Amino acid sequence: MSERHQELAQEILEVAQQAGSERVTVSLASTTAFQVEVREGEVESLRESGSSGVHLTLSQGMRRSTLTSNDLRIDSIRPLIRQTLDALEFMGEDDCYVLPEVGLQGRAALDLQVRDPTFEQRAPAEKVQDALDLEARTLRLDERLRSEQAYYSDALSHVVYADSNGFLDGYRKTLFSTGVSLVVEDPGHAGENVGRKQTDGWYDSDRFHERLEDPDILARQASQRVLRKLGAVKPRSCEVPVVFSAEMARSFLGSLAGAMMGESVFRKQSFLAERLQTVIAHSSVSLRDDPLLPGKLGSRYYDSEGVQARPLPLIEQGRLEHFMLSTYSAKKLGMQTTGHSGGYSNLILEPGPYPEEELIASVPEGLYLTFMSGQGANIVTGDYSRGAQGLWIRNGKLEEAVSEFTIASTYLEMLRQISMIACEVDDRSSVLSPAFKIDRMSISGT
Amino acid sequence: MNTSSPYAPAQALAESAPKTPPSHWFETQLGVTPEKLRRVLEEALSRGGTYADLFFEYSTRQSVVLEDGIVKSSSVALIVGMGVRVLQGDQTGYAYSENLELSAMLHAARSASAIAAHGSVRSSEIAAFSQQVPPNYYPVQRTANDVVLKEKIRLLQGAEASALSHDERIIRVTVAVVDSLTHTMVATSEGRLLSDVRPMVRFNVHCMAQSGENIQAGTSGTGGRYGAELLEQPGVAERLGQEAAADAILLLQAVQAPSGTLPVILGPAQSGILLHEAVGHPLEADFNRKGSSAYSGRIGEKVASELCTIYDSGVILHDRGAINFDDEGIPSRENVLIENGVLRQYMHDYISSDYFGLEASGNGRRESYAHPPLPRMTTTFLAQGQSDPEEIFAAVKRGVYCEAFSGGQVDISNGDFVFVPTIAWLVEDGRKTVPLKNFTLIGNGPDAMSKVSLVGNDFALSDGIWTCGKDGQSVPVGVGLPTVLISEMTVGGM
Repeated sequence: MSERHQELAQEILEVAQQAGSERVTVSLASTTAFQVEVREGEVESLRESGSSGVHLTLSQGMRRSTLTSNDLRIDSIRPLIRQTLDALEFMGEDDCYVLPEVGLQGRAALDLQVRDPTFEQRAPAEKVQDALDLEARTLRLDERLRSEQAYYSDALSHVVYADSNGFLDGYRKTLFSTGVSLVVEDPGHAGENVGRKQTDGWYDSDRFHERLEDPDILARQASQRVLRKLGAVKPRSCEVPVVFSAEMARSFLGSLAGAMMGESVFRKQSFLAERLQTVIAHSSVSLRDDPLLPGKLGSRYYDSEGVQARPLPLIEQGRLEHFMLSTYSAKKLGMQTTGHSGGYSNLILEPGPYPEEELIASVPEGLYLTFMSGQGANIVTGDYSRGAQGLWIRNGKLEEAVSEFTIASTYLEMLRQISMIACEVDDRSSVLSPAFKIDRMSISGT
Repeated sequence: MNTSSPYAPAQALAESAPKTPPSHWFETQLGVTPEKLRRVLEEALSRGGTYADLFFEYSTRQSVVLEDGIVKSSSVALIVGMGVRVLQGDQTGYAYSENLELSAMLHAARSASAIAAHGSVRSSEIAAFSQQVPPNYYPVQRTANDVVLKEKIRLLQGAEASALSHDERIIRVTVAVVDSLTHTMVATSEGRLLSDVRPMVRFNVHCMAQSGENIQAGTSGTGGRYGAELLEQPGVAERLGQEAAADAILLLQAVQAPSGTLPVILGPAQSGILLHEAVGHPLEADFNRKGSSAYSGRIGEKVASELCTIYDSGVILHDRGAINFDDEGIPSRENVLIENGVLRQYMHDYISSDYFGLEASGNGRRESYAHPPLPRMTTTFLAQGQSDPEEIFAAVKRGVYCEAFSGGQVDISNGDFVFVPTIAWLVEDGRKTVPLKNFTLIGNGPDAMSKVSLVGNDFALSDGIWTCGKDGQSVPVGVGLPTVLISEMTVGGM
C-alpha cells in the first residue's frame, strides 16, 4: 500500500517536471477512517470513509504556484499542473522560494511507533460495542446523567512526500479515539437560567488501541466533570491566582506556539518577534519541541518539506532560545530551518515537582480553570482575554462552579507568572503539558 | 472525467445556462445518469432503512495572494466526491467516494447501508425522480474565475497601494482574492432530484501598523455568492485597502478595555455575530432533539425582549449564507425563529423535522460530500427596530460600543456565549471616546436577549466574510443587525 502511494507521488512529480516545472514538491495523503456515535443505547451514526489528497508546489526561478486535488488520477492532475504553470508568469519573484538543502533532508533513524499493527484486526461490530459499553458504564454512575453521545473512532493514514531534490519517503500511522459526553439539567435558582443544562465529558486518544484508557476511568472522569459544573455562579470581578488545568495549559501553549513560528515572526505578527535570547517567562518554564518521542501524537520522521526531524529547545528556564522555522521563514529571517515546516511536532512543557493538588492547595482564593472560549488570544499584540468556566478555590480547596466570566492578561505577564508547574502530563494531543499556576489574572464577572 | 481544463465547469455554465437546465450537469460532464443514481440508492437501502440520499459535489477554487509587494503565489484546487447517507429512523449510516464510477459509488452505498443492519429491516421503495428547479438566489453572468489573473492582480495591487498610502505607519499589507464554483446535486429515495451551481467570492485585506513597539493588525473584506461583478465594482480594492489600514492605525491608540458589567451598544451588521452565537446555535434542532440546548422544549415561551424578532434566511440575494436548496434538497426559505421575543421554531434538518413531526426548514447543510448534513444556520438577522442610533447612544452614560468582530463561540447547554470585538470604543456620556484593545464579551443567551432595551432603525447585513464551525464542519453563513443596546453585559478587560 505504502509503496503504491510512493510510486504515485513519484509519477506525479515526473509529470510536473515533464510539463516544465523546474522544482516540484508533492505531498500525498490517504486515510481510511471509521467512526461510530451512540446515544441512549442506540447507534446514532456510523461513518466509514476513504479519502485522499495531493498537494503540489511548482516553481520556476523564484516564482511559485500551488495546486491541491482529491482526484489523484494522472489524467485529472495533468490539466491542473498546466493551469498552475500558466499562472507562474504572473507571479512575483521571491528569493526565499527554495527547496531545503539536500543535506538537511532525511528520515530520522529510529522507529517512532506510530502504527498499530493490529489496526485491521477489529471488526466494526466490536467497535460499536465498545462505544455502547462506555456509554452504559457512564450512565450507571449517577441517575442525573444523560448521554449526549459516546463514540469510538479510528483511522489509518499513509503520508508520502516527494520532491525534485530526489527526496521520496512515506509512512503509515494509526490513531484511535474514544470518549463520552454528558448533559445534566442545571436549573439554578428559581426563575433564573430557565432551561439551563451543563455538558462535559472525557476522552482518550492514542496511536495504539491497547493503550486507550480503561472505559471505567473515562466514565468516572466524564461523570465527575459534568456534575461538578452544577449550580455554577458568576464570580465577582477581581484579580486572583489562576490554576490552568492540564487541558487549559495545553490550549494556552498551543496558541503560544503560533507566536514562535517563523511565519509569524518574519511577518511581525508575533509579540515575540524581537525577544529572541531574552527572558520571557518565569525561570520554572522550559518548553521544547520533540518530534522523536515514540508513540506520541505529534511524532514525525521529517517535516512537511522532508527536513529531518530533531528536538529543539524553545524556552530554557524562562529564556526564549529558538523560533520554529521552515526553509522559507528561515531564509526570510536569515537563519537556518529547524525542521518545522507544517508547525510544531510534540510541544512539551517540562513538568514540575508538584502534584496538581499542591497547586490548588497553594491558592487562598482563586480560580481553577477548566474551559476557555472565543478568539481573544492575540499573538500579534500579546493580549489575552477569553471566556472562561471553572471551579472557585477557597483556602486551597475546590469549591463552587463558576461560569459566564472572562479572564484577561497578556501572554508575557502570564508567562512570567507561571510560578508552579504540576507533574502529571496530559498526553492526549501533540501538546504535552501538565497543569500550571499563574499568580495573577483579571477576572471580569459581576 | 472528460474535461480538459479544471475550469471547464465554469465555462460550461456560462455557455450553457440558457440552453440546458443545470440539473443535467453531473450527467453530461461526469456521466452520473439517473439510472446510476437509482442503482446506488437501491444498494443503499438493500439492507433496510427508512430513507437514503446522495450528495454530489464538484468544486474548483482559485486563490491569489499578494504580500509585501510580491504576488506570492496562486493556487488552484479541485474537490470532487459523493456521499451516501442511509437513515434508519434517526440513526445515520454515512460513507463517501471520491470516485464517481458506478462501482465505487456502490461500494460507498454498501458501507452506508451497514446502519440498517443494526436495526429492524424496513425496506423503502425508491420513488421516481422528479426534477425540481427552485429559484436561483445567486444568478451570475460571469463567474469570478472569468476575471483573468492579471486583472485580479491589479486589484490586489490597488488595495495594497491604497492601504500603504493611508498612513506611513502601515508596515505590511497582505491581500487575497479567493473564489470558487461548486456544482452540487442531491438525489433522494423520496424522489427529490436537484442540482445547483454555487458561486462564492472573497476579497480580503490584512494590514499591520507599527508605532514604536506597538504593532496592531487591521482587516477588511467583502464577499458573497457573486460572480465577476463583485471584483469589478468601481473602487472596491481602494475601499478595502483604506478600511483595513484605518482599523490598524486606529488600534495603535487603543487602550485596555474596562472590566465588569456595562451597557453594550452593538453597531449594525457585524454584531449579528451575537445572534449567531447566543440564539442561532442553541436553536439548531439537533441539540433540541437531544434535549441538550438551553432552549429545549421552550417553543411558544418568551425567550427574549419583545423588541427582538429574529430570522434565519437562506434566500437573501447573493448573500454568503444563501442557498437555493439545502444539502438534503429542501428548497431554502426565510424562517422566523423568535417573534417579538417569543420562541417560534428551531432550524431543522431531515432527521430533526421527522423527529418533531414538522416540515423541514431548509437548514440541512454540510461542509462537503465527506460530511453528513446537520441543522445549520444560513443568514441570521434581527429585524429593524424604531430607535434612531443617536438616541441609542444618548441612553448610555458609560459603556462600550462594538463595531467589528473576530468571531464568537457558544456553550449550547448553559447558554454562555462569548464574542470578540476587534474594533470597539468606550462610550462616555453618549459619545464614542477612545478605541479599545481587543477583549472578550461574555453573556448568557436567554439573559442577554432579554436585556435588549433598544433596537435601531439602521439595519445592515454584514459584508460576506463569515464561516461557521460545528462538529468539525465549516459552512459559509451571513449575519445582520441594526444598532442594538444591551442594558448590561460582562466586558472582559483588565
